[in-house]
Amino acid sequence: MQYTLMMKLSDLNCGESSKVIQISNQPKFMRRINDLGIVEGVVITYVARAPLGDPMLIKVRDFMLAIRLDDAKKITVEKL
Amino acid sequence: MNDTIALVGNPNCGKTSLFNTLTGTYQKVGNWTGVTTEQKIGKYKKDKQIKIIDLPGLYSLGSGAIDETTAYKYLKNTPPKVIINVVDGTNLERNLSLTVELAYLKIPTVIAINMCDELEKNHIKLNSEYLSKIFGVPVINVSALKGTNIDKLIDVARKTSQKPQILGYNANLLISNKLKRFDFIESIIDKVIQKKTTKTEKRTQRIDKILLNKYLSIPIFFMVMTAVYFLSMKVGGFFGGYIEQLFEWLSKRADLLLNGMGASEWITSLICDAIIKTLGGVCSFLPQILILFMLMALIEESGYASRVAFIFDRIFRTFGLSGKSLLPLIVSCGCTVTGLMATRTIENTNERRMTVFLAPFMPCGAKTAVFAWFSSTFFGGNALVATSMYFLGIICACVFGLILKGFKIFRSDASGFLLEIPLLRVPPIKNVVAVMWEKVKEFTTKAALIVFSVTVFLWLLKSVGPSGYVGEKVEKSFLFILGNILKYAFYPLGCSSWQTSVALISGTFAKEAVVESLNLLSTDVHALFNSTYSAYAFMAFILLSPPCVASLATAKRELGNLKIFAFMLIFQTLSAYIVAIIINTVGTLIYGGFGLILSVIIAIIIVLAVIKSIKRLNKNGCKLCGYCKKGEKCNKKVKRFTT
Repeated sequence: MQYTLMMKLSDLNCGESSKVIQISNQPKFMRRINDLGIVEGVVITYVARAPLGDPMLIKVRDFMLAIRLDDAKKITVEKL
Repeated sequence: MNDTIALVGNPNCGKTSLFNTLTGTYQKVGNWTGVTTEQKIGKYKKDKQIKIIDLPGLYSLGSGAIDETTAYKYLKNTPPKVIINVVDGTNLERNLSLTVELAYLKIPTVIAINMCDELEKNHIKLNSEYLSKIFGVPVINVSALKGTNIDKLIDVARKTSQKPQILGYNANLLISNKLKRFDFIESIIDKVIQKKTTKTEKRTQRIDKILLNKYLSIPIFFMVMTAVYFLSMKVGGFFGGYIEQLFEWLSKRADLLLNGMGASEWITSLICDAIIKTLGGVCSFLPQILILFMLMALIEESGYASRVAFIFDRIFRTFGLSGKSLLPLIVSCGCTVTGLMATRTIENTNERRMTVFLAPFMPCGAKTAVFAWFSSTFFGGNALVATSMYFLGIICACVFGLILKGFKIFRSDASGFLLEIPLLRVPPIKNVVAVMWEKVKEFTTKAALIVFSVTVFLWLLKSVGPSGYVGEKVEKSFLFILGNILKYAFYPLGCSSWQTSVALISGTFAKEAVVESLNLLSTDVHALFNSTYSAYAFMAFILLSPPCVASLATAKRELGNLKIFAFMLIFQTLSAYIVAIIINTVGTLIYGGFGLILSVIIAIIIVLAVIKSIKRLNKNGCKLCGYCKKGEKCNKKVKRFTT
């Protein structure tokens, strides 16, 4: 069996890519994030962090998205 | 309503651009998601029979944000004849998710793949036949910007009656299960388009390295904003001066002409003093607003605006706002009405409300004019005085933001902050001109309608009294009586004359009217204020008190709730009152003047009352951070003990 490292999206290092394993089950958040194409299995790349450290810039399905760390904590990913 | 075509698509996919190309009317387009916040209706320029509706951009039907709900309700309640599903060709994967959902509506659809000029430039081929086969509807490659295939699109849209259906797949499953839906899209996407990094993408990455750099991003932002304000204030002000002179000349001409015609005194007074002068006052702002909005449009369309929101989100969150509040706040420095309209893009209800509450604290163009007059009359033209108002506005927005965060209505929504960062693009001149044109139109109609009617109304109050037309004898007018009743409320501010209260009344209609009223109503404006401190307090009151009627109407619409709107009015009046009293009291304490003791007592009572009301809101000794719900124990405190 292949060893995978599960972590929160917010714990990734800049430049790393990851695959979404699970999204925290809060209906409103879930729907919002699903609509943007973030579903289980999609690849997310951590592009940059805002100058003040908080929202992170991610790349998913060919577009860039700013997401707050608080929200990123709700997404569990596996490092690629 | 037999020939209605609705444009539906993701935010920032070029719907509004397409709408402009189709209708020929100029709508605001921005490289900023959610520029269209209400549906716009236009007529196809080659056939006026066809109505075209531009709906706000949506990622999905029936999701959280206000924009999306409007669009969904519209499609549900008044189904158009045909939907044109605008799809951004450079980002098919996410865009097609909405296309799948549209199939559920069972309305005839045509898919328009926009930005095909960009695909061509990058030698990316798009297999539209395959896409057409999958969804069972016509697919047409268009470029809204270049106008490619636009007529063909309408032609096909008129003839089509095909309802979208996902052939060979279980449509219901795809609609209810988003995971399956994206799996499905991924499975077809390879056959439709080959993925490739476009030139725009590469360029964006390069520029973003500088724009979003840890150390450079904030200085760059301040440089950009300084340039914007310098250009609009200095260059705009230069032309504004000429416009004012023109209107003065017009007023004199009209006076001569009317006198020559033997018109009665009150008609001359109404036309020359009231109407032409106010119109001139408003129009002198026109060049400033024109340049400001042109530059703002450049910032929005290039995609920089959303990057700014990304950079500053952390700061704004402390005060219960979001990065998306920055744009409305900046725009509010030009005009509060537009600023409030821009709050629509904030999907978090708390943060949107907070922005609507605090945006009027920014000194808008009209307020700036008042402050400029005050600083030259009372402070010997000290530029610092007018500038300090900007800082006062920002500080008050922060402080009151922190206080407001404790209230229940700002704690109801916890939906996150998700902001699409579009690719950086060079904005087409066509769109920038479009924005300018729209602003000029909006501004002149506002000037002509609201300011005009208000001026006439005020003029009536001023020149008519219980004894009929009183002419120049203001002491006998209704306005004098009204001002005399209200002046007692302003006693703690140190400006308890009827003229100042009347000026404030006229200020509620249009802030620039404050100066005019003060000049018109008194011979010595210096006598109206106890000291320079009270003049400063008066400026602070103007800054923070509820904005003009036009802004209030917009705020009401944006809040959508009468109770919250009433709360906002009370909040803004109270905060203006408190801050003004504090300034005057501190000033008089140093200066030592008349009315000192009374002002101190009132200020202390008000401050105590505010503190007490806040304390009551947070019985558990919470630090007003807004992290925990009312009645819950403070999480932060627990954290502080454990770490």
